[in-house]
Amino acid sequence: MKWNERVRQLAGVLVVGALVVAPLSLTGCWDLHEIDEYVHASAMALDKGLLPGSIRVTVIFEEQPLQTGSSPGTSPGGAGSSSLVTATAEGPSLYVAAERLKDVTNRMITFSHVRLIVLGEDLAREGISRVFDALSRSRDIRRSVGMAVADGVTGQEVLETARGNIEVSPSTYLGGLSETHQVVTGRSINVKLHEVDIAFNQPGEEIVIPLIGLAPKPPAPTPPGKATGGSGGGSGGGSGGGSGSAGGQAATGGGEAQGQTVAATEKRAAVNGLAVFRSEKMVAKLTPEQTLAYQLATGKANRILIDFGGLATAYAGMVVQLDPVHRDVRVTRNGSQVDIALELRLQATLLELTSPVQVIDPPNLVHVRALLAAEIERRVRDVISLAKTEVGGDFFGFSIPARRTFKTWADWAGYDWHTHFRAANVSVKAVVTGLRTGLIFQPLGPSQ
Amino acid sequence: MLFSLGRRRTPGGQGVPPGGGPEPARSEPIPTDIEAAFKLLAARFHHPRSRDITIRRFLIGGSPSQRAFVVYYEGLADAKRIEREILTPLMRVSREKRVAAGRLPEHVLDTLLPAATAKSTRAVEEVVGGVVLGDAVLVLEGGHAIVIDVKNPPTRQPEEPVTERVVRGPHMGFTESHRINTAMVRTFLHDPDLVSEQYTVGRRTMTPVSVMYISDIANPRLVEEVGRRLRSLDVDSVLDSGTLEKLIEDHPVTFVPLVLSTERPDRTAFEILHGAVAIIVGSSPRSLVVPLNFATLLHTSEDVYIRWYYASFLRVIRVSAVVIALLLPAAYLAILNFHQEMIPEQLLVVFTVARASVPFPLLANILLMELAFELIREAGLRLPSAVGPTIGIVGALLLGDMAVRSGLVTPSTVIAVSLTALASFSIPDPCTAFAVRVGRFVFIALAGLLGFYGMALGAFALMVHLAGLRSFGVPFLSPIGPWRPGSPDVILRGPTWTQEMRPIQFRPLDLIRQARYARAWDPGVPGETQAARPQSEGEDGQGKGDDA
Amino acid sequence: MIRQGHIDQAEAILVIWFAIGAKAVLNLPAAVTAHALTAGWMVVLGGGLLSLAAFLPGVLLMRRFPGLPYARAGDEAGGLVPGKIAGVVTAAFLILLSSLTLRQSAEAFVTTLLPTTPVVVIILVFALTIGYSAYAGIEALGRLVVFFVPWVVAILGLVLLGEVGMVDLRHLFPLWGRGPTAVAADMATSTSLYSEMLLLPILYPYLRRRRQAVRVGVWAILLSTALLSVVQVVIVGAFDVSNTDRLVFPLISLARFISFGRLFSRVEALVILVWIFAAAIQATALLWAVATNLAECLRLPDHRPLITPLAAVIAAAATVPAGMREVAAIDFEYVHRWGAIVAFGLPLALWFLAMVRGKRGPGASDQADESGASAQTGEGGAGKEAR
Repeated sequence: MKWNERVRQLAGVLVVGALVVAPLSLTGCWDLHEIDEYVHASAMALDKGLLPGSIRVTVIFEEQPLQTGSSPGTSPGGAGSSSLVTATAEGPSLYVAAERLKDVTNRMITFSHVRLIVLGEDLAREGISRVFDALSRSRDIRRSVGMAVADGVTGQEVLETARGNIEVSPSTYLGGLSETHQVVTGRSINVKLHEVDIAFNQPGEEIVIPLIGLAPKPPAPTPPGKATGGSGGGSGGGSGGGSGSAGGQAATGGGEAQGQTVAATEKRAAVNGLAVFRSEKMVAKLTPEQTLAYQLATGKANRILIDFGGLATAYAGMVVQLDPVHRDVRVTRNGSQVDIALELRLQATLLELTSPVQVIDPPNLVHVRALLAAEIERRVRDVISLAKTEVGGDFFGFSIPARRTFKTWADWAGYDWHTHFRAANVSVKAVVTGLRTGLIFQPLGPSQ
Repeated sequence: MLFSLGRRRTPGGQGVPPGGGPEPARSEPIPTDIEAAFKLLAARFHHPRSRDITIRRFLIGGSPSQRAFVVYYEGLADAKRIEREILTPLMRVSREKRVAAGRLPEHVLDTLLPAATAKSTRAVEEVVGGVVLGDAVLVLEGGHAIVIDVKNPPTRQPEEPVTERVVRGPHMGFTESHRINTAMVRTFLHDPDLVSEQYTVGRRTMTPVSVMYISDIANPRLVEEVGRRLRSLDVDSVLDSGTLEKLIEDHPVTFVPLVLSTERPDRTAFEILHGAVAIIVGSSPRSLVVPLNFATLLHTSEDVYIRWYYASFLRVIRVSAVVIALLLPAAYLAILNFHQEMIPEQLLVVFTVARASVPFPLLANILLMELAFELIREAGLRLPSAVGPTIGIVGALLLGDMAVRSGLVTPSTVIAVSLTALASFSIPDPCTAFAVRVGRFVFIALAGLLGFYGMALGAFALMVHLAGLRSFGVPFLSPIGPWRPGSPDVILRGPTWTQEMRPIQFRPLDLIRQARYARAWDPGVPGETQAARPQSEGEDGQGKGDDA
Repeated sequence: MIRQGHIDQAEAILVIWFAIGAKAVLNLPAAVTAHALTAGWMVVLGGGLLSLAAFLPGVLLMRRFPGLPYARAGDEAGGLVPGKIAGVVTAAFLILLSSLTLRQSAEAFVTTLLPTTPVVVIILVFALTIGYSAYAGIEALGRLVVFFVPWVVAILGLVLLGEVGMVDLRHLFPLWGRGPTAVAADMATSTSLYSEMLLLPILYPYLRRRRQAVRVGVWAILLSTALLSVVQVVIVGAFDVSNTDRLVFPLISLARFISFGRLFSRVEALVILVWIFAAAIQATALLWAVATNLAECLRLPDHRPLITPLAAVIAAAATVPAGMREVAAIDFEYVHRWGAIVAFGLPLALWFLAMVRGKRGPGASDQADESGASAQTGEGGAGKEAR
C-alpha cells in the first residue's frame, strides 16, 4: 500500500511539474536563439564618426551563401565559397551604433567571437574612455580579445584588408596579427583588453596598444594564361560582400571602398609598432625598433637582432641575435627622489659573420659583448627618455615594483608616480653573456 | 486523487480485503484410501480433462493389497526414467521382498527406488507442488506419497549469452532449466559453503526460486532480508526474473535498476564471492544479484579476465558512453541554441548554413532523429535475426542520409544522434541502457528550456535521486558516496593481486579474500613468504627440478 | 530528535566546506577587495584562523546535551523563551544567508549562461531543485557531496591554476592595504565570512561519530580559509585591485580566460555547469538546516513539510533586492560583517548560559561524545567492520 501511495504522490509531482514547465515552454525560452538568427562578428573597428561626437562601429563577419535549387547529390549549404561582409553604423555611443548595425545586417549581432578590436587613430587621440566602459562591461566581448590602433588609417580600413587576405578565416587573420608578429618577428606585442583594462584603472600605469597599418600586398603569382587583378580572388574563395552604413546606403560590393584610390582589400595589414597612451589619449607612437627596446625594458621581448652592418669597425659584418634571459627592476625611493635600476641579461648568438675577425678570441669576445651591451643600453635609454619627455608617464610598468616601497594603499594612491618617474634616475645595465656561434667557429672565407 | 490504481482481485472476482496477505497454505493430508487419494488428485489436476497429466495405476509386486499410482505431467517428467526407476522396480518386486503396508513407504524409499532424489510426504500440497514442477509422485496406500525427481523439462544446451558477450572468458550462459542454472553456478564455485535455499513464489506458477550465497561470506542479515521479501510476496505468478526483480527491489518507482540481472553464471559466481546473494528464478535465463552498486552496472565479467589497464580503459569508455548517451543531444542543443559562444569560429558558418536550410527548429530536429533511431532499433529487434541487423544498418544509413538531403535535418544533428545511439549500445547493462534512453529525453527537454542551466539542475536532481537509493540496505552510490575504502575495482580496476578485500559496503563476514602478497612465488615479496618457495634452489636461484 | 540518517566525518567537512567556499565564485572576492584592498587575503586568512576558536562553543554546547538537536539544546540551555528566540533568530539568519546566496548565484547564472532570462525564473527553478534535494535528507546530501567534490575541485584547479600565468603577485603590494590597524579590525569582523559554520551544531546530532565534531569544524574552516585566501590572491594577482572591486563575479571573469587551444575557448559555460552543483549543494545544506532547526524549534515530528514553504520563502526573499548592487551591499555590509554574532555569538551565549545555570543533559560530558550513530550500520545489515 505504501508504494501505491508513493506512486500516486509521484504522479502528482509530475503533474505539478508539468504545469510549471508548460508555461516555460509556451512563453518562450528567453535565451533560445537558433544559430542562424545571429551574425557572429569576427572583428570590430571603432572610429570617430562622421557626425560630431559620434562613434562609427564596423564589424566583419563570415557568411556562406545558401545554395538554392540544390540538385540530388548535393546537400543544402554544402561546399561553397564563404564571403566576408563588413557592416558599418554610426551612433552617439558604441552600443547605440552597435544596435544600428542590426538595421544593416537584419539579424542580431553577437560579439562573442570577436578576436580583434581596432581603434581608429583619430578616436585614440581623442580618448578611448567613451568606448572603453562599454567594452569592459560587455558580457559578449571577451577580456582576452586583442586590441590594436590603426596607424594613419581608420579601423574600418584595417578590417577591410581581411577581405583581400582570406587564405585563413578573418578571425584567424585579424586576431593573429599581433599574436603572430610577436611570436614570429618579435617586433610587436600582443595586448589584450584585459591588460588595457588594468592599465586604464590602475594608478601609475599607462596603456600601450599595437599599431596596425596598411602595407602593399605582394602581387599574387600569375598562372600562365590568366589575367591578373581583381579583388577578393584569393584561393579558397572570397568574393567581396557588401558594406552598409547607418544611413542605409546600398552596398557597393566587389571590394570597392568609397573614397579610396586603392582599396584596402588590395593591401595587407602590418604591425608598425606601438601606440602609447597617456590618461586614455594616444600621445605617441613607437617605431618597431623602439618597440623592441620597450619589450626589453618590460621583459616581453622574445629575441632581438642586432645588425652591425654599416659600422666602421672590425665587426661591421656581424649579425647577432640576443635572447633575453633575465630582467630585474629595482625601485628605491629616497624622499621624493626615485631611483630605478633596470638590469638586463641577454644571451648572444652569432648568426652571420662576413668579416674575418675572430670574434671568439677572448679579447675580441669581451669587446663584442661590451658593444652589444652598449647598444642595448642605448636603445632602452632612448625609449625611456621618450617616455619621460614625449609621453610624460611611465608605460613600462615600473610602478608595479615601486608599490613594494609603500606601506598602505592610500600612500600609493596619493603618490603621483608619473611625475616622480619623469624626475627619476633610471639606470640601465645590460649584460650580454656567451656568444654561441652556431655549427661552426670560423667565418667562411679563404683559410688562413 | 488524480487516478486510482484499482483494487487487487482474486481469480474469483472479489477484492482483497484490507490488510489481506497470503492465503494460508493448504496442509491437507493425503487420504489413506488409495481410491480416495486417486479421486482427490484426479480432481486437483483436472484429469482426464487435462490431457497432459498422467496417473498410472499399478500394483506393487503384483499384490492387490498394495495398490499405488504415479502422477506426472507428460513432457515435464522423464517417462523413460519413470518406467525404469519407478514402475519396473516396484512392479517386479518379488513376493519374498514384500513388506507390510505400514513399512511400505520406507521400504520403497530405502530399497526399491533407485532415483537419486526422492522425498516422502503426506501433504497434498507437496504432491501438487512436486508434480507441477516436473517431478513424479508415487502415491501409496495409507496416505503416503513419495516425490521423485525425474524432471526433464524442455530446455536447451547452454549457449553464449545474448547480451553479455565476451572475447575472453567463459562463453556459457544460463538456460531455461532451473537445476542446470544452479548447477552452472556450482561449476564455478566448488565451495561446500555455497548454500542454495529454495523458495516457491507465485500462487499459480509456483515458481521455484533458489537463493544462493556462501554462508561464511554473505551477511546473514542480507540473506534473511532476501528470504523475508520472497516469503512475503503474494502474487499469482512470477514468470521471469524480471517480474521478481520488480517485486523485491527497494524503490520500485525509480528508473535505475537496483538489482543486477545477468545471463552469466561466472559473473553470478563472482558476485557471490563478493558477499552478494544470487537469486535463480524458475526458468529464467537470467539470475538476479543483490545488493547492487552503481559501479557494478558498468562492469562486465570480462574486466576480471583481461589485464587491468585494458579493463580500466574499457570502463572509462563505458562511463563516457553513459555520459554521452545521456547528455550529448542535450548538450548539442544547449550549445547551438543557448551558448553559441562556445562554438569554434571554423564551425560557426557550417552550422549556420546548415541550420538556415532546415525548416524545423533544432529541438524538433533532434526529437525527429531520436524517434527515427528508436524505431529502427525496435524494428531490428522484431525482425528475424538474418534480416534484422541489415535492416537496421541500411535503415539508419538511408534515413540519415535522405533526411539530410531532403533538408529535414542538419548533418550535425544526425552525427550527434548517431553518436548517442552508439554510446547507448556500449552500455553493458541493458536495464541501465533503457534508463539512459528514457533519461536522455528528459535532458533534451531541460536543455531546450534552459540550456546548460536546465541540464545542470537536471543532473543534480538525478544525482540526488541516486544518492537516496538503497539496494537491500546498501547505498546505491557506495563505495564512493558514502566513501568506503576497498580494493581498486570501482570505476578503474587495479591489478588482480591488489584485489584483497571484498566490498566493505556489503558487510561480508569475511572481508579479506586474498593474502596481502597473493603472488607468494614472486621473488620480490618479503621474506616471510619465502617458505612458499621450493626447497631446492641452485646457485642462480632457480629450482633444480620438481621433486614434489 | 527527528530521525534522518547520519553523515560521516568527511561528508560533514565537505558539506560545510561547500557551504562556505561556494561564496568564492560570487561577489565575495570583489567585496573583500573593495574593503581591504591588497590586504584582502590577509583579512580572509585571519578571519578563518579566528573562526577556529569561535566555532568551539557551539560544539561544547552540543556536548552538554548529547542526543538533542541544536534548537532543543538551546531551550535547555537558555530556558524556554530565550531558547525559542535563539531558534527563531537562527532560522531567520539562515534564511537570510540562503536567500542572499541564492540571489547572487542566480545573478551569476544569468550573467554567464542566460542573459535575457528573468532572474525570477532562474530563482524559482533553482528553488524547486534544492527543495527536492533537501527533501532527500542529510544522508543523501552527504553521499552526493563526495561524488561532486572531485569535479568541483578539478574545475577550481583549472580556473585557479590554469590562469596562473596571468597572476602577478606584485599586485598584492602595498601589503597592508588600508593599514595594519584596519587589517586587524577587518580580521575580527571577517569571522562572519564563516557564518555557515552554524551548520555544525545543527549537523552535530546527525554525525555518525560525534566525537569527531571538533575535527569536522577544524578541517572545514581550514579548507574554506585556504580556498578563500587562494582565490583572493589569484583574483587580485590577475586583475589588480582597481579592477577586482569593479567586477561583479571575479572568479567567473577569470574563468572566461580559459581556453584549450583555439578549438575550445570560451568554455566558461562548462565551468559554470560544474559550479551549479556546488551552488546547489550549498543551497541545499542551508535549506535543510533551516528546515531541521525550525522543525525542532517548533517540536514538529518531521522537518520535511517545512521544506516547500521555506524554499518558497527563500526564493521570495531572494527576489526582494532590486539588483546585484543591493545584494552585494546587504551581503557584505551586514551579513558578512555582523553575521558572526548569530553564527558564533549565539552558541557562545547559550553555552555560557548553560554553564551558569548548571544545565546539562543526561550522559553529558565535555569530553568527546562517545554516542552517536557508530552502532548503527545501515548498510546491508550487521557485521563487523573490519577496518
